[in-house]
Amino acid sequence: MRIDTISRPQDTIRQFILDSVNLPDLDDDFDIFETGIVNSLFAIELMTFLEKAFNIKVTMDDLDMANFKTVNTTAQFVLNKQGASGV
Amino acid sequence: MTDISLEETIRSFNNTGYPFPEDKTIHSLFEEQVERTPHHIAAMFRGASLTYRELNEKANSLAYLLREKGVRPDVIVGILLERSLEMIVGIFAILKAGGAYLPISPAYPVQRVQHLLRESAAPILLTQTQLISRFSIDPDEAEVIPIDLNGPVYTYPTLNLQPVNSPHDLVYVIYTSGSTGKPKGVGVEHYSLVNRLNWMQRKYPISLTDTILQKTPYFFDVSVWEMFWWSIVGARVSFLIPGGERFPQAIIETVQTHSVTVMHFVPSMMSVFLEYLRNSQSDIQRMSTLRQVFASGEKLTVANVRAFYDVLFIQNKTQLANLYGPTEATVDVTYYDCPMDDSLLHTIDKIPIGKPIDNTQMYILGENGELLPVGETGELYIGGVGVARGYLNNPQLTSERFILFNPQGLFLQKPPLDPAKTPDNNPPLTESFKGVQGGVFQKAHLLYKTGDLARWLDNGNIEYLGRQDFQVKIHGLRIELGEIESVLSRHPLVRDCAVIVKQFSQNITLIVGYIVPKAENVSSGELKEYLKNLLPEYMVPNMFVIMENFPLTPSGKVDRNALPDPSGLFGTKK
Repeated sequence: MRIDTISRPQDTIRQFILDSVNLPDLDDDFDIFETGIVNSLFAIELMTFLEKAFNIKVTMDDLDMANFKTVNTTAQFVLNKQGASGV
Repeated sequence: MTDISLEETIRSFNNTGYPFPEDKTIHSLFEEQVERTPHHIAAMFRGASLTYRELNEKANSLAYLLREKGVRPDVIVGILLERSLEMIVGIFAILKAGGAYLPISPAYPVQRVQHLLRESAAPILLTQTQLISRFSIDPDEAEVIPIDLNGPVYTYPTLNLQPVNSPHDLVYVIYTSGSTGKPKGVGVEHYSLVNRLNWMQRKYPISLTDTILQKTPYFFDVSVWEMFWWSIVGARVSFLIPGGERFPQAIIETVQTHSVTVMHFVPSMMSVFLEYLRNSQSDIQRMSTLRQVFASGEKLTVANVRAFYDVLFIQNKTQLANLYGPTEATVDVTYYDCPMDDSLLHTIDKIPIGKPIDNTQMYILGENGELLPVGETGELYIGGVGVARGYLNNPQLTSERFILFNPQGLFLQKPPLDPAKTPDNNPPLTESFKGVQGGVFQKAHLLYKTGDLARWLDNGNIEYLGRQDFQVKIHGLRIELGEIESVLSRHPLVRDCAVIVKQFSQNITLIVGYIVPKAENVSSGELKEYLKNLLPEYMVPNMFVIMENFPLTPSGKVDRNALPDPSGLFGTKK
């Protein structure tokens, strides 16, 4: 998959979630786990996607579900990882 | 096909007799192993470990205390812990004292913990200090004993206790979801477990250099082989960190650090795990010690096996076996070695659950209890030494599901003695097998009625074809939708309810609750909170749909197929 590097990570992440759960749209602050539209297995699918799409590595220290609960928190997580690795 | 040849065919498929140490308990086998490998590492957790001797001494010391407090054969002792070294010390202590262990999730709501202790009449609950404050257990009901390894309880002698058990005493009680609204406790005896482990060791031998990953939550019976198999052959167990079963990173890290060679996956988790691994050659490399994976708990698909072949077989030569079995028949009763052959995997469209394990018979019966020939779909019944004693305190349900075998005695057989073995390790057959011809009520006469649909294949493998009822599996966790509905219907604002499981994508399967409320002001958040106090988290519906009334079938029942699709109901526009 090619990622447009100019687009905000939110757009990429939101699109991935929408493709996975078959919803028409998704608010970037909508808690996808708490509201029950996805399950814990989806967290792994999401991490797999993030690693591939943003060229980051999710490590043991990152396994806090708070990182992945909304489009916005996930985007912030990605930006932090990219910043930390100097990308 | 005449009846005679049909009987012969099924008999040949079920020709599984094989000797096992049927006069032994699981803890006596462990004690024998301690003598053989006292200084070998037995159990590992994070950076800590116990040798066989250390584990045995800790467990003995605690067992003396338990025996002093009245634990005897068939006394059930609760244990409520996170994965830890205390978990295995506590379990062996309960067995050595003579009792049976009842594993309880620390994540269960207090009311469910209290219910399980009361229902099983458990006089004692073993736990960790860090968990005590979460539970208010009435001291009149059960005595709570923290068993932290650095705590004060290990003051008793460390020598092995005088054995008090027969192989037909209970070894554990595991509760599963019950359709009538209450969980049901399945009681399993030592000899059933010893046979199950003996078969696994015979078929997939492990040795001193092997490490099993303890990853399955211990209140599901898949955990039982992870908990004990290593302990009777001198291998090791590695306890995954609490919560780590949900994250590939934690699993990979532990496999690498503790050189894990054998582990289990539920297929849905295996699927996302393999996709995660597929990205990273280095992560696959970190899994290189892994030799054997067992999959069970839900249907294993050809796509799952192909992914396994691509990711773990190609690079690491890891093998995959598919296992099947209900809690009522001691973990697993059939096995199938998945072919690691790329071209073959492109020609098959189903993965069978395979053939019966040692001393186990499978029957596929029609509606009138008649034997069905190869290819015909019917209900699966299980016989043999794995059949559990029954449901605790529930003779009615037990007699509905554990059925006395056809009095004609068809298909019953004695396991042959193994001529290659010496008389010493080739012990006499159990009375239950000998008694078969006599027509006395014996365990070997019982069949467990699974509720699963299946059919025989020509080569003696069995193909699983789904459920007959409303029992569902989510990530391998067995859930009776009726239990959720029963609890939900007791909420004061619920007039009517229906609970279904909906698959949204390959790996997203959610529980959806439909409610017709008595008043308008019921919210899904309130219903979730209510259920979280009464049910395990994994049984609480992920989402609720509030309706004015339900679509009905012509016979007046809720038409489950006509309930609205919930995915359209998320008005989440920005």
